[in-house]
Amino acid sequence: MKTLFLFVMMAIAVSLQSTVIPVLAIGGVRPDLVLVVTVSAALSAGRETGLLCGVFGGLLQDLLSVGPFGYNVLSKMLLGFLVGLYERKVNQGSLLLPLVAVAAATVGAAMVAMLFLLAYGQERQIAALLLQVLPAAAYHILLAVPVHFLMIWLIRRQAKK
Amino acid sequence: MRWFDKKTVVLCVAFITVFLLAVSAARVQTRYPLMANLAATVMTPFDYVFSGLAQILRRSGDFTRDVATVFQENQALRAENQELRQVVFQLTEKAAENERLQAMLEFRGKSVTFQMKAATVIGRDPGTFSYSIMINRGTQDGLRVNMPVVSTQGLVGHVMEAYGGTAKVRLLLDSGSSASAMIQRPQSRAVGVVEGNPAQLSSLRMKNLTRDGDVIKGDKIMTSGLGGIYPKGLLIGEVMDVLDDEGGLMKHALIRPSVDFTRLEEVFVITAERIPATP
Repeated sequence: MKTLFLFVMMAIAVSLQSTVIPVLAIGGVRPDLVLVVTVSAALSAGRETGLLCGVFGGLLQDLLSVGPFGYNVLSKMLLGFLVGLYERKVNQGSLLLPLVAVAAATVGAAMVAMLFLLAYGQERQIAALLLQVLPAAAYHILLAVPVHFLMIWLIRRQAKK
Repeated sequence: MRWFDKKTVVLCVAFITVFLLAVSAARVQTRYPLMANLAATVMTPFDYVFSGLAQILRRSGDFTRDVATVFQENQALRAENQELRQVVFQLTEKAAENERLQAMLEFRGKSVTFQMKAATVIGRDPGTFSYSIMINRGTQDGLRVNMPVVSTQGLVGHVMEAYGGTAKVRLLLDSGSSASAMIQRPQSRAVGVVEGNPAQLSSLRMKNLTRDGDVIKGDKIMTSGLGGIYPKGLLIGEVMDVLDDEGGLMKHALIRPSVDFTRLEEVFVITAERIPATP
């Protein structure tokens, strides 16, 4: 049941990523809502949830995208797991760690992306990717605030069932 | 010891499996069509729901912007109206001339057109550095891989993957896409390759132009018909700047696409080669 819930949640995140997020892009920088949701879920419910969210969201993104296959699922499953290790250290009312975590995850995802672009022979894109890291991190921090509170509410609601 | 528990081992195995799949996909430049088809089918209902929300957001943004600029626009439109009256007068003359010339040409029966299928954009690429759209037409509507996709403004891209009722279209903006192109100006007709420009998002890059190639700012770029995907004569955009390549004999041009890729809502898929128009 929990797995199905997480899958549907990530499917909605991926769908929002491909429909609503492009409208909210600023200067061509598109935030990665799936990454923000994965980090938030990992911090709210632990490494297993983070891992599953990363796998579901990343895999759907990779299958629906024309970008290098595997980048999203690998980066998100890894980041979901690693961020989830800090679950118990988070005071869930506090926002500092989620914001720091989402900024760090943005940098981590960019590093994985660089490896993939090198593997796919698309070195030309790396400079553009690096230029996008800081604006994307700032955008992710803004998104992390509502997403994190929504996630805590969803996870608590799910736990009650 | 926490790092070496059973779940960590499962993660490592999963990570390595996905890594190997990704490496194999990179090597043979393939994807996983069955899984992609399944994912597209699962996501279609969500995309339909949220694309409605996206449209509302886009229109709200446009409305707010319109209200903010309505006064200046009104002044500009008044001036433009005067100019247009002059242009209409001249065009009426040209139209009459054109009609006469058309009648003189005996090639009317050979005039050409495309067979097109209209489609609605239901989703965009969920990745952060790749550009594609999902449309609501698929193999059931006769779509096949590599069919060109256009809008009323010009060339959009080509069908990359076609599923039952949907298809994925790789946009010209994507760094993985390229189109053989030429300068429309009769004195030039220089040929090059247009591709996505990751260094400057929302612009294109026309490469492989010789240093002495006749390319100037404002030149219109269209498809050359070479390469086998795009037919000749589809508008791509306009030259913004021409720059020499470092240490080479070539130069490249920055292109402003004729299509506003951020506002694509409806597109046309060219489903058949050029056919003679019915007399």
